[in-house]
Amino acid sequence: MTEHAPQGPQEEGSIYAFIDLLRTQAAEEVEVEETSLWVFLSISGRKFVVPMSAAREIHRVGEIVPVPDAPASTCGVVQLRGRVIAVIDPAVLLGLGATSIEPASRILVAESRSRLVGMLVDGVDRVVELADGQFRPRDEGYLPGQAETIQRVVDLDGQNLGVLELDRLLRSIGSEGSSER
Amino acid sequence: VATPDAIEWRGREAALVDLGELLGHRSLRARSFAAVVEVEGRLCAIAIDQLGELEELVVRPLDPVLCAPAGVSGSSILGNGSVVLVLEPAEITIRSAELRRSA
Repeated sequence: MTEHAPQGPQEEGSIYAFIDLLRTQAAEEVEVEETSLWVFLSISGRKFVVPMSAAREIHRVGEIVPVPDAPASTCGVVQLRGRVIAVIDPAVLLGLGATSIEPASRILVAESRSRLVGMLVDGVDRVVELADGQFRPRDEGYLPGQAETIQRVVDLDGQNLGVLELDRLLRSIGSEGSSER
Repeated sequence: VATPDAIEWRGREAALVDLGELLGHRSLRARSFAAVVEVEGRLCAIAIDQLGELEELVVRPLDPVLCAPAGVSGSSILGNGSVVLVLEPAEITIRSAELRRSA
C-alpha cells in the first residue's frame, strides 16, 4: 500500500497510481464494514433476529388449519397465494411455551432449502443492518435446553438477541412430541 | 340401524369409521351422518358432521415437518380459498380396523 501512497512531485501525473490507491482503500473499507440485513422480531416476549435473506413476506394471522397428530411446535397449514404452507411455532422449539395469537401476531414467511415455511411470531419490529463484528457465540445458559437451535447472539440496543436459523429450527421439530388436541 | 362397529346400507354391511376418534378429536359415533365409501370391494361408513360439496381439486403433499398421520394424504385449496386436508379412505379404513382390533 505504501508504494502507491502519494509521494509528491515525482508521482505527479501518475493518475493510475492514484486510482490504484483509491481502489485499495475502497477494498479495505468494504472488508471492515461488512454488514447484512436482519429482521428484528419477538417470540414469546423475547427478541430475536432472522436473516433478511431468508424472509419472504409478513402476514397477519388468518385461519390456520390444524393437522391431526402434528408436533406441538407446528400450528397447521395456511394458504399463501395458491400454495399451502406449514406454520411452525418457534416459541415451542425454543422452550418458551406456545405462542398465543394476539392482534399484533404475525406469520413471517421464510425460505429454507427452497421451501416456504411460516413462523408464528408475537410481532415484527423492524429490519436492522448489523455488522459481522456484532455477532458472537451464544453464552452458556442462554435459553437452557435450546443450545442446538441458537448458536449465535448479537448485541443490539444493549440486548442480547438470539440469531434464529430456520434450518436448525426445522430440524428440531418432532423432538418435542405431538400437540395435545 | 347403527351398531358400535357397522351400519347397514342398502342391504350391505358397512364398517363404521369414527374419523373423530381416528384423528384425535371428539368421537363422532353419535352423529347421524356417514359418508359411505367402497374401498377394495368393502363398504365403509365414515361418520361425519356434515357433507360439504363435490369439487375438483389439485392435491399437494403436506410439508414433512407436520408429520401428517397415515390417512391424511395431502392438502388442497377450495374454490372459496379455504385450505382443506385431504383424506385417503383406503388408509383410514385400514387404520380404523387396526384401532378396533387393538381396542
